[in-house]
Amino acid sequence: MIPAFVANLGAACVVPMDYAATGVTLSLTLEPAKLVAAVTVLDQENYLLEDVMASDLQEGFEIEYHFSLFDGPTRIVLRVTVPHDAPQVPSIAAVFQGADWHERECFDFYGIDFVGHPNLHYLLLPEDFEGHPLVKEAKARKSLADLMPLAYLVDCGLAEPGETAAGKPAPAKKDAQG
Amino acid sequence: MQAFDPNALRGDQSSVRFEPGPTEDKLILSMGPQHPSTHGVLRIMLELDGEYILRAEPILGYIHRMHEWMAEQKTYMQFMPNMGRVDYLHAMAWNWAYAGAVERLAGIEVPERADHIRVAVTELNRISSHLLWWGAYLLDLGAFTPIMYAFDDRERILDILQDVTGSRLTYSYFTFGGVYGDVPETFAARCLEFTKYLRTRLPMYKDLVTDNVILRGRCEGIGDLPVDIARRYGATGPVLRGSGIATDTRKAEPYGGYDRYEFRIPVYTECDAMARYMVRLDELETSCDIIDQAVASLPEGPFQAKVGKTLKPPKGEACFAVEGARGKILVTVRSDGGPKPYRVKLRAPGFSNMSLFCELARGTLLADAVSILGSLDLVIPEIDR
Repeated sequence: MIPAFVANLGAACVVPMDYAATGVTLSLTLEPAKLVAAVTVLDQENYLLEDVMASDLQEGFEIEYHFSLFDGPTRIVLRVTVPHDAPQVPSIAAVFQGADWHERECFDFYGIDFVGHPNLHYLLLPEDFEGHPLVKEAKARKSLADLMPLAYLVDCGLAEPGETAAGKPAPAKKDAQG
Repeated sequence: MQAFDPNALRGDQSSVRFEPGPTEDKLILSMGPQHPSTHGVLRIMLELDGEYILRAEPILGYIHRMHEWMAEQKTYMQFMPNMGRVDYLHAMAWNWAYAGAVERLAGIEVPERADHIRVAVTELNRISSHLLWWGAYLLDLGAFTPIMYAFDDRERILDILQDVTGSRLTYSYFTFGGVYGDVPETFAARCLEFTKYLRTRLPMYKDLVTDNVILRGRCEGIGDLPVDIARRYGATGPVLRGSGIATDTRKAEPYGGYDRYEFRIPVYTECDAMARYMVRLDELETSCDIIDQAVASLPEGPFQAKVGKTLKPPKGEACFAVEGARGKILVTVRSDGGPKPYRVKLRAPGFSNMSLFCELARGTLLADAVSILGSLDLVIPEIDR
């Protein structure tokens, strides 16, 4: 069941997830430019920002924002991908003040530039530390296709359903969502 | 002769960044990392006008250990002992959050007996965490005796958990698909004996401390936290329940069979430090209720599922949320199908609760800031990770 307001978020792809298998009910992929407008809608819908998590993929840095409601197993993930050579994403600290520290933590670990952040400098690392510890070497990076189950990729238009060679999670996920 | 360097007196990088520039009658004070009420490893930069706080900024990272990097270097199981060291006061909840995320990812079913054991040890651990907070908070506020009572009671829990897990503080008791070893035969009886004992102590705590006029003066109306601010900062756990929201991960996203047990969620609507204090004291009682039910119905059967030696979950991503003593713990694990996680993200409840402090402390007296800081129940290793 997808809530009605999701249509207003301007997501490039909306994937209902199986809560029992992933702990997430809905995954949305967004353009960075639409992020602030989307989280403003979530703020009006009374969502709580749980955390901001970045990962280093071949496609760039994928930043996930976990939101949930006060009651019921509802977890919405917003995903934004930014390229390695220009890792810039708008800051949401003006909407969710709690994002301030989470964004600084992502800056610590990945060097992602949160545009418009009021106070972007090392939070956990010492100020004279050089580099960003969680950035992977180019050959160690995996692509989204190596990290997500096939059903997710198909729903996002990143893979063809025919490619199921060993895509075990695919049938179960489809059934659960009806 | 060496020329005088005016910057030599300007402090370190954090204080230089914090300083607003030359001001009259404003005092910049660095509270911690050795201040007793910051519990060792937190530092707060304060800008004071007399005794009033104009601005506060926590400086983190004094015991940052980069757990998330370690996760990527180790196999799934090798990372488990780290979880007991993220939040050493409620290690069981972190054990559970990580084990739960990996179990979701790999599709491992947990046997019923293991679920009961997990609930019992996690709740025992929650009581010991709350008791330590209680003692330490009162110590911060100037009352020395209560921590002696708290540690006396806490010791009994540690004795029970020592026989179960083999350690007294940094537990690493969970495995994927269950718990590491079965509980001793006497476990249920000892738990019931302990909850019975603790219930006789709670009225004494109330008479001795909770109804004390000095404590009330230090806590009531201090650190007002409206719900909307709490939500935007991502506050969870007793901090949020002290602002009148009856939310608890154990009820909202039942895991490990918490939906089998009957317990109430303590809520207070005063939004102040006293409300957060009352929530935690009431939680001692609800945890006792849960332990009673969990051990009374402890089923026979295996205490862990059969899981291969080297776990390789299929590619994917899974989150698992757990109600820790300080709030919602969320662990997210990404797998590429290999023996090591591709990415592990640890969401510490204290991290979000701590970020509230700048907001709460503004405009209060310095002495009240200590009361606010304590009412957030901070465990710095969890915040710094």
